[in-house]
Amino acid sequence: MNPANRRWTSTTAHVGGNALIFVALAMALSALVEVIDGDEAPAMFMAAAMTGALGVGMRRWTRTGVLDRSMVFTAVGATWVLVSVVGALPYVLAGTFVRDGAGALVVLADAFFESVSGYSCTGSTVFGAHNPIEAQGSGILLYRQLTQWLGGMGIVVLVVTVLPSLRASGLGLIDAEAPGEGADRLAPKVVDTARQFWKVYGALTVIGAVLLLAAGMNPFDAVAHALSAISTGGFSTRNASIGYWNSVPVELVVMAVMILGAASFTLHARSYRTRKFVHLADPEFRWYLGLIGGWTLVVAVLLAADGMAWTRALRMSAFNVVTLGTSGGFGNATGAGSDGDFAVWAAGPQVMLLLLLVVGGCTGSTSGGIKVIRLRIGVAHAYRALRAMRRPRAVLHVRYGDGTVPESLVERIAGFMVVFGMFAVIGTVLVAALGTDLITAFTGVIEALGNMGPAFGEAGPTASFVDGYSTPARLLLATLMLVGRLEIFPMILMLIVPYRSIRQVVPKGPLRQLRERRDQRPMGA
Amino acid sequence: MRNLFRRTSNPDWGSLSSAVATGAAVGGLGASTLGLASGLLDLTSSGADAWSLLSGSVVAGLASVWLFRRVRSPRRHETADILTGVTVAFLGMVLLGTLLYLLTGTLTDPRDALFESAAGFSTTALTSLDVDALGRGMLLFRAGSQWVGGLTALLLGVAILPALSVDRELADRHTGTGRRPLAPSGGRAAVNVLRLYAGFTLLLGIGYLVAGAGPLGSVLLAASTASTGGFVGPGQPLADPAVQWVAILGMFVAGASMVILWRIVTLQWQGIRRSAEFRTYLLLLSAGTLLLGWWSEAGGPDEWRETLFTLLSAVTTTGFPMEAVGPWATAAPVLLLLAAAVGPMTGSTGGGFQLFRMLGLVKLARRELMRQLHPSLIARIRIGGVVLSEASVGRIVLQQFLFVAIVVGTTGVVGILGLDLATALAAGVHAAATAGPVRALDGTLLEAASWSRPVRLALVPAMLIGRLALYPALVAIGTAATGIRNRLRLKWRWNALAKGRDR
Repeated sequence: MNPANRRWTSTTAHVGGNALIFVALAMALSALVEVIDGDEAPAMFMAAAMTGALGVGMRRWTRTGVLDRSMVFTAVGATWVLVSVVGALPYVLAGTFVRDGAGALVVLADAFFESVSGYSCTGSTVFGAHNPIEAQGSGILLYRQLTQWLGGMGIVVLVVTVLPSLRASGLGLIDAEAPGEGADRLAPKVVDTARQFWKVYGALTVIGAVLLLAAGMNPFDAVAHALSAISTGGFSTRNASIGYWNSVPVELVVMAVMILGAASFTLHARSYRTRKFVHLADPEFRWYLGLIGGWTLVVAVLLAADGMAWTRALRMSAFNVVTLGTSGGFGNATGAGSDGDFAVWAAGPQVMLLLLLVVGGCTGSTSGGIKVIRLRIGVAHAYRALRAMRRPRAVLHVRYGDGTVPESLVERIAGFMVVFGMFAVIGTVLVAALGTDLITAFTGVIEALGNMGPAFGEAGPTASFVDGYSTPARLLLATLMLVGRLEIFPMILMLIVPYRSIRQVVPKGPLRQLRERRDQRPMGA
Repeated sequence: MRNLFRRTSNPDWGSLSSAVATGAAVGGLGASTLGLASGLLDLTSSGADAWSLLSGSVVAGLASVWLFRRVRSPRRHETADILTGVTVAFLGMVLLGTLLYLLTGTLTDPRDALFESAAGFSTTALTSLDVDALGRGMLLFRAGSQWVGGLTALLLGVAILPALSVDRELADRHTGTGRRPLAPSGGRAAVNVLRLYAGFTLLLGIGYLVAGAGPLGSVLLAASTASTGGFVGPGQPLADPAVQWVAILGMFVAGASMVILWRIVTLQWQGIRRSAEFRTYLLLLSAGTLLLGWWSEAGGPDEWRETLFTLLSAVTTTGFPMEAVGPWATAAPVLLLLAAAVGPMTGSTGGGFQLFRMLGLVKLARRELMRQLHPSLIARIRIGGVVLSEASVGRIVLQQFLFVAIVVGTTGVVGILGLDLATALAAGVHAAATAGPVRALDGTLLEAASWSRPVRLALVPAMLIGRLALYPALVAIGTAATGIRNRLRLKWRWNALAKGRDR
């Protein structure tokens, strides 16, 4: 503790405390709605008060310190873990997941899963036929949607808007949290950049809500779905998700909002500032649209070949390609086994959708996955390596758009894809070891790492994750969601600072002493 | 005879055309030699297939010799052209094998014959044949095709690619401190590899004979074990515990690198101890056996032996069939699928992604993690004391990318053609890894014969590309595509010129 002002110097705790204040505000707003329609208002107010108190306390008693790179990862990673854990309080206090035969630990695990799935914008849910979403009060439902909205743009980006004390270090925090290869600076001041992102985000949410209202949803559902569509989260206020409305206009609006959410917010901000549609000048966005369009056609052809009517195949294909291609995670199946239930489609279209689970949206968007730009550069890198085999003496570059991609970025992208693949493989084995079949385990892990939503097999778009996975497997998937939301590295590197602290405190063991003695030995001795 | 092989005084051929022609001739010679041996063996039994095998092989052999004599190679070949030549040689063997299956009447549909031949030469243990109905000649041809396929993989991995300065880290080239390296030069490496491979097969054959597999059964099993092929002869020779033990030992050695075998033969124990890949191989086998035993509730020694057999069969991509031991947990088939995808050591006859590359990826991931903290970090990737060049690291990443792409592509195609997602994924992985029989989600073995012909045919490209270590085959495809494109461009230009002249 600093004796001068009696405040701990801890950036992690300070950022985390500020994040909790925003979470508490979301809980309080939801509690107010629960007062109007619901029975759990006291529990939600209590959760808001506890979260708020914890957040204010952490903010009051700490201050920001020096932010080196390891500290940035610790601050961002720890904030996300803290928000996800505390974010489960309303579900726990309201007893949302209490059901027959489920012990306290299972209820706690389900609350944590739903909270992580919300804040990471994954959209997987433990609600289902055993515990229908429609049976919940409006407050709880709104809170679920708000978790996705807060998580979509990034809770740390939100914190940066109110923390001028971070100065330039704030960009490092945004950078560590932002999807893709780093964050763009929209204004000279980092705080202004963060505020611009949130303004655009808010404006698009309002537009989405108005359009959904016009398409036939009631005001509450329109707002709720706008919140989770722009954040490409995928939570719905209905068990059947968008399939409940079975309406083409609703599906079209949701698709449009998801596509906007999965596009770069830097492009949205520039379009707003210049009053021009600059999106098509961006090669990643063009690739992205091409990918979505091409995939829609291929899946539609495969579905039609399998016996579905052409127009219906196109509709089902378009919605599911967009919802998985943007990492949205909504479903348009009207029931288990219906045309929109891709878990019962033939293997061909399923494999096409499976690929989309990996790809995700654009960099700087709210979507998950490995991102279009990485895939594009990864493919170009592979093609270059093949060409190098044919022309060993040629100096070949990876080109993207009108320019050449720096080698350091190519290596970083290759490294990221390798790490993503390793997490997918190890995760699949672990989830399978916890009692899940190959397809459900593999697709569950991919969707968790890519923050997509529904999986295949026993956890398809019309099923609950309670049906597909055991409780330990769900906890593992929740961890992978957090890992995927921060694009893997921050969640691993957040442990560096605590590890170094422990190493300084813990006395040296015999092995460490031996190793140090070996390192100190002169060369050749 | 010497005169037959003498080269004519044709002017120098181009690098690509001479590589392709030599490849076709070598492939033809390889398959026809195998066909001749099989035909001669068939004469000792019913002889039903003997004349077809002999006549087909003689014609193909003579054509190959004629082609070989016509080729006059330039002084220097481009790397891509040599890889194209190797691919053509491999394809030549597969096509000639297809022809022999059809000539003998073993299979009447060309698609079935192509699948069977590709599965044989690519050492993939998928078959649509009823082996109990085959004569001795065709049994030897089947097992021999796997042996030749294994040899191709070894020569490519240990001799050809390192000689072309590709994946040099995988070969034993160091000549310092009076060591005898396996691959001081491309030619020497090929001779050493052939000796080791033949000697190992011979020892295995003797082992199987002693264990009671019978003379023909021993030859067949030795060929398919050494090559990690996995074809099994008539009857159920692997049901005998003694034969199983020989197979276990054989698969373990076949999955180890030729470099390790060479070091054992030349008594360089220190090199074995230092090999990080070999240590990982042992660790993978131990941990995998324990996990599989736990998940399949293995109890007695017999069950543990079968567990070890099943795991080795998957890791080494041999694919000897073994029904599930006990009630399998859901994770058991997943573990076996992963084991087949990863595969054994590099420089072995096994397929899959292979352990050295896996270690390379792990180290690459670690380096990227460190680079997040220190963006300017300059660090080399080192595996067991061997520093990997950045070009090799790039190729490892490329191979991972290609492997995933081939698995996904094959899964998609066979899925469209009628397999369910789980079976399609397992079939895609097994084809790309040239691994053994596909298992259902509950661990039961699936018969390739029960799949439709288009499905089986769709697996062929993945099997062939997988056996050729992925990128050599794709380089060959790229070379062919460029050649065709250039020809077409020339044609278009010629037509355009002609049109202009007419006007």
